[in-house]
Amino acid sequence: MTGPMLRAPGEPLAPEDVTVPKARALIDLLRSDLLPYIRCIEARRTDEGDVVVFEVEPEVPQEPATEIRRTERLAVTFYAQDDRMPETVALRADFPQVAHLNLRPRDYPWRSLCLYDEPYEELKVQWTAASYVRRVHEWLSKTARGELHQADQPLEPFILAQTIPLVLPPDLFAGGEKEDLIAHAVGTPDDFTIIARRGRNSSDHEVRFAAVAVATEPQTHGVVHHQPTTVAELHELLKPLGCDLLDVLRRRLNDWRDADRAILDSKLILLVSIPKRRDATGPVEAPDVWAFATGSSLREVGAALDLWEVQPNGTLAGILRRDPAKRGQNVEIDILRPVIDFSRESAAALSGMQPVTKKVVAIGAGALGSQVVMNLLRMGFGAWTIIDSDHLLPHNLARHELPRSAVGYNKACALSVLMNDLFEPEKPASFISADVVRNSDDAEIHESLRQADLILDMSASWAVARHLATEADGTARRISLFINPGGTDLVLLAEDAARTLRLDDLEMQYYRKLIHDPDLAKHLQPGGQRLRYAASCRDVTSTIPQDLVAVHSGVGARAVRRAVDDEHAAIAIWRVKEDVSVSVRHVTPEPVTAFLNSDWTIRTDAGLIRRLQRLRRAKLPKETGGILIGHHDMARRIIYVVDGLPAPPDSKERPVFFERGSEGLRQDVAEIEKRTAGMLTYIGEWHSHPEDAPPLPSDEDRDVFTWLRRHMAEDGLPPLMAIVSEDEIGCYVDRITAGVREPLPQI
Amino acid sequence: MHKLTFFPLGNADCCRIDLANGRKILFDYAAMRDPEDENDRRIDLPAALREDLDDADRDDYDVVAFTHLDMDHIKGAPDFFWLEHAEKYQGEDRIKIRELWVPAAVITERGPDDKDAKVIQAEARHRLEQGQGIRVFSRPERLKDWLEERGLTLEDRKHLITDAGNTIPDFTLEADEVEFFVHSPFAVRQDENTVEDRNTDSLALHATFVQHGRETKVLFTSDINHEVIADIVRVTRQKGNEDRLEWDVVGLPHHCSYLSLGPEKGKDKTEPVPEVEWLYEEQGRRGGILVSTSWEVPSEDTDQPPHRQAAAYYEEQTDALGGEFKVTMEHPKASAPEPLVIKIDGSGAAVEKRIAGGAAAIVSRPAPRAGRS
Repeated sequence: MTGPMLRAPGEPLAPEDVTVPKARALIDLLRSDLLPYIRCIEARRTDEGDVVVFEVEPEVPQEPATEIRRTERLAVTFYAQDDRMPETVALRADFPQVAHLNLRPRDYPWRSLCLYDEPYEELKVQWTAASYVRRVHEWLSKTARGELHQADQPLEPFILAQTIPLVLPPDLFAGGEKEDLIAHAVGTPDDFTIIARRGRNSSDHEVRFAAVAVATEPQTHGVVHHQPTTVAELHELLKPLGCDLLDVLRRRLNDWRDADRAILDSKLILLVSIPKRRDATGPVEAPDVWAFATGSSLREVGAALDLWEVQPNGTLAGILRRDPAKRGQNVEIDILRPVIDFSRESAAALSGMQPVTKKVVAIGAGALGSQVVMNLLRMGFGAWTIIDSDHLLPHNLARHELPRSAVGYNKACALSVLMNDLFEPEKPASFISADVVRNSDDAEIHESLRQADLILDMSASWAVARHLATEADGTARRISLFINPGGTDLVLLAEDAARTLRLDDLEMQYYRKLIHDPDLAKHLQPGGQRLRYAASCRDVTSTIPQDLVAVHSGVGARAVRRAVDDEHAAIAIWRVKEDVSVSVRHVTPEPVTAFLNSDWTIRTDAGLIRRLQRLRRAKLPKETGGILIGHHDMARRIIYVVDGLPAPPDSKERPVFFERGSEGLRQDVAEIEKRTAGMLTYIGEWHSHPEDAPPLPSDEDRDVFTWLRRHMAEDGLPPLMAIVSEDEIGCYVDRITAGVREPLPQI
Repeated sequence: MHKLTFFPLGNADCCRIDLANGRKILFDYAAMRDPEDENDRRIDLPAALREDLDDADRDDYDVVAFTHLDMDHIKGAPDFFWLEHAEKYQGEDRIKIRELWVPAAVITERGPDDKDAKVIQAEARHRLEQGQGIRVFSRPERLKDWLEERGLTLEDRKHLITDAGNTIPDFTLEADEVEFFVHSPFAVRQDENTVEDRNTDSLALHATFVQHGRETKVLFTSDINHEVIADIVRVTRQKGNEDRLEWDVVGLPHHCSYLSLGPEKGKDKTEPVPEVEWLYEEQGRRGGILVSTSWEVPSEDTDQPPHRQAAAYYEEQTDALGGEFKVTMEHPKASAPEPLVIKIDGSGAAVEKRIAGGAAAIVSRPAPRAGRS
């Protein structure tokens, strides 16, 4: 099964005399008979290192995809300095031209196997002779089946990592061949990267390279088998692929001479796009892009292509007698490593995601907002409008995405500049320098909210959240993200996609969680110290460290992505604990009931109603009751009824009446106010009616209401009384005569 | 992908077929390893089979075929399988057989001499009497007397009997991407036999596997000798069924015995009789694989198989085809044999060649006992 063999590198050497450690290790392994399917043939030595010749028996099916044989003979050179990848070559003279061979000059005698795609420095750390043998065996077996290109692996040639990178626009070949690409080098003369940009005025840098791009006909992969070293060689290589490089080059050089002589001092870059398909009938996939740099200026290249002559003073002269033999044989080219610039698509792909182009309005470009937004954008998520009226001040730099050079600029504006610089060529962000509440009439804000697919509130202001929940334009669901004052916890409030649960409702249910979960007792307590950064009494800032903000903005970005994929409402609280673990509490959002009573809107939810029903039933046939906890929004005339406490122990509960006691009540209310930073407080009374009695106020109830009205008036608040019967709840606000009765779900 | 797994059991047979659709078929079962002998290189068959079933989360085989009742094809089966004819074979951890395949001789043979053979015969008879979970290979008439002795009629049991020259109805190309064609036992032999010779009344099948439009043909020959092969070749050619003797893989007969090629062992190479020569030299396809389920091929002349002269002949054939001659106890190396896996996919058959990692090997078997002895 073997064919004629090529001579292995170097001269024969007794296996005992092998000294290069990796060669030694391989010989010892092969001679140990530990591994099947592999055997040692001989050892050799070159000027650079030791060579091991061995035979491998790969897995080859009856009908292999490539002409890999059941036995293949290979030679591997291990370099004495161990400073680069050992070179593994096939010795069979007719070893096939397959994918994953290293590019070598035309006069290199062997096929060189490209076994690894990681740099040798990394590989070295884990290299063993056995892992090398396994890799060679796997390479041959998979190549035999044509499976070395995994189905999801792009058809991409391997180019040595040490070659000079050339950064190219993502849509390079979308616009045809005619576009000018001007490139400049970044770095030091010894160590640089070439950055190419579209158009002549895209850069203030000195023009150093001008690129000519050509495309071939679609190919099945593996057409560049050796490294061309001159323009003439490249031309010969491309000709059978349907591309006349010399013709294109001559025309472009002539165009440039006529249009822009200054460019003729630049060096020439050649870009070759080879559209690829996996097989002859398959769809065209992303092209292989090959790039070459000449050491010559366009001026010199033109002369070498018989376009003109360069006079001693550098000016160009026409040619009297054409010389068709001048085909660029003396214009040497070096291979570059083309790298495609960063775009939304590559951002998403590099994050293992699909790009998301939903229109997102982000309100608040502060510490959390700026970092969450950048996290999301780096994953290819969102077409953004950033709204913030604030300006970046030096103290912000302790925990902000923006650099010091942005100090003094509007945060939304500076952040959008940063965002737009991330992708090429798309500009994914715009900004509005305004305050959504104070500037609520702003036409631009109206328009952006109306257009939005998602409104992301990171203002850390409940006033903003309430405004977005109630008055602001647009039907997009709202999501709030904020950090607690201590900096330990991150809170997510996400409306459902249909907006049946609003941000303000979710806010109340979040507060209720704070009063029932002992672990969250200190959630809203100010943590750390407040730091004054300027003279005014409002110029204080927190001392939350950036590491916590970074954790929260990472969690927050992921939470937003998940919330967007889930149409349900969500309430979640993440906590970074002392030991730096992150825990989460999810609160199941309860459906909300809203009803109008007098000129007040009452908003409550199924969770509270169930609780009152349960407390009532537990005491039947006696009546029971207690106080109601909630929140007044005086501006919008909304009373949020959030919680109901059970009867204090000194209450009198009888089948015909209920008299609420007060033991411990003051302390309970104080604790609730403390835990919720005053957002929840006493708002009224509830009591139950026994079986068969409707939730209508009795004479005694009316007396209680009068008592209630007098005391609430001292706070400028309306009295509220709720009566719970078997299947209804009656709510009375301000006036006992105008109540609302709501049927109750049966539990 | 379909998979054939031949287990290293010395001169004994067990081949598992894993179909691409998940169905599992076992051809013979012979737990040959001596647990007392730590140098025994033969595989612990029940353990290996159980591990595979556990991975598939199953406790049964769709089919278990016993090609005949010799010990090297049934040893230990009564300890491994759930047998329906007696409660003592119905422990919780036993492996169930949805359908049992046997040649008619397993039913009709009088008084097999060893215990395991008796138990398998009892099971086969029980299933045939019950009328389910069995397929018998024979000319139906041959079972007539046996059935009538038990008050049963041939008519009632005919659907459980498949004669040579037919395909087995339980597997179809449409549903299973495989078709089995029965070559043996067949009538010519059995009518002439007065004493039932197990090896000539063995089950021999031809399987046609299909994957991605590619047919891969496998011949399972059990222990048949050259005379039976010659008969099969003659009958098959006579009926114009030559394609049922084309092969990509052959499970070679009788552990590489010269008697399965021709009457004379030969000095260095056995010369096959003409029909056998036709089978190996005309019917093999490019890259074909011959599998000898046997001990390693000796370098000197031996009485017992495997015979080096037969191996020399087989190796010559696979060399000509650019294929492989594999010996179960030599794969991947004689010092540490492992199950021989043949993958069957759109590229035909391939002997699986994997260089397993050392750690992977360590964690897939128990560690030796540690501590002070």
